[in-house]
Amino acid sequence: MITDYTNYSGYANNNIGYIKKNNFSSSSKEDQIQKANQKLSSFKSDVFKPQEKKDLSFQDILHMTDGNSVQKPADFPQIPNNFSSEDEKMRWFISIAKDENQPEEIRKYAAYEVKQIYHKKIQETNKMQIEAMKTETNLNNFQNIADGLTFNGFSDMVKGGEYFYKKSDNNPKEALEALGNIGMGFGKCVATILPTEQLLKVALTGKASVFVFKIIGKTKAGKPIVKFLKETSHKAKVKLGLKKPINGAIRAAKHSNGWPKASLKDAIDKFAPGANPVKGPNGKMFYKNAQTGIQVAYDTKGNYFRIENTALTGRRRFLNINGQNVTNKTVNGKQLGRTNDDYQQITHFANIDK
Amino acid sequence: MERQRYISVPLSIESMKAFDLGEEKSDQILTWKLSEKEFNNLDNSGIFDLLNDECNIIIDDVETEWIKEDNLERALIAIQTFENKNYYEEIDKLKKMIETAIEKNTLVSFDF
Repeated sequence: MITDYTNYSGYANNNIGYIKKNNFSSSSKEDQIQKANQKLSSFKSDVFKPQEKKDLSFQDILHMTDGNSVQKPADFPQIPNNFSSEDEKMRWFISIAKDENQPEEIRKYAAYEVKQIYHKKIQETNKMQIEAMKTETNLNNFQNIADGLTFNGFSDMVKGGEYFYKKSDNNPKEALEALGNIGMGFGKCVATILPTEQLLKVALTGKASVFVFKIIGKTKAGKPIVKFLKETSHKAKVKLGLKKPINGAIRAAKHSNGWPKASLKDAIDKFAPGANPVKGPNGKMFYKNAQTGIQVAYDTKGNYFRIENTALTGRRRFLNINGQNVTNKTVNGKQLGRTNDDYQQITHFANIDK
Repeated sequence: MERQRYISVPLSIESMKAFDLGEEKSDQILTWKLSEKEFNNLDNSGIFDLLNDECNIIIDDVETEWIKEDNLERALIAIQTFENKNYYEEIDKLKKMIETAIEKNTLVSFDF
């Protein structure tokens, strides 16, 4: 069973919303954090003001104590000893903390108990998640891991990872949804892992998932998460800036069926005989003829090549296999422009050399 | 000799049609001819990887790739949230070109 702890991470999200709503843009981040903490302190005292009806949320209750140990008042109501779960126990303490007819000390102690149970839960789920991360991962156990997690921040993240892994190459919409899942999951993880001050800094940047990825990767608890994604998702690797995509291979897989087939060796012999190969970015290799300016650009990842006349200026400098400029085509004796798709297709060559 | 690399934005629907056929007039196209350093900075920044990821395209050296239609908004969101202070100048210039393409309802072409 998955327990929904959305409200718990809402504690942190509320801080984020609070900061954004109050627009502290004119002062430094440190000032903003200080102001936010002051506001949170004043909120705590405000909760206990008499004669004001308030419907307190879970995060309001967490704010009622500062986390220091609270002595149990002698007149605290009898705590039942037959709770069926920790959740039920927490709900009982929440009801006491919310009860405005109870004295302030009673309510504070109840809030303290709520906080203790909450932190215990978080510690347990963090530990469980880290253990899950250590297991060997494959397509089938993404969902198993997600289902087994009791903290839905991690669960969202794993589901996002699954989408990335399986689908995003072909479906940008799903990739974006996956990004949303991962971003949301990480946001929730950040809310439980980072100290409040650092969390506020994250909130203040207003940046999206790329930044959160980087932050989470630097935290002790976040490292296994990043490790998990590094091992399972190429897209996530790219997102994390950990790996260059294998662009040429992706392009060849998408388009090479429509490309003319030709021999790389023959093209080099014809256009750049004896040229020494020069390594370029992302798996490219260039063979240039210094006299003519024509070079053969070979993509080692996708096993295809193009022939470029570097002496030409402008965007369309690529040649067909016969070395002709094909930016235009002849139809019924007339020269017409060639569409980009057509131009790209006849200036890429799938290498047939073994 | 430096490789020629261009990022271009047609400034009208008509110029976009001509651009598709390789018949564009230079005054109808916003063109950024990248120096080797500018290209390397953008490539090293990771912004191409991010745009590829967000827009399901493959910006790469010795290749042509377009960002158009719905992908323009995605690209703008991605570049707005992208953090790399080391290459601010180049990334900001690219962001402005994406904004222009959205404004003119055209495209951004990467011809590397």
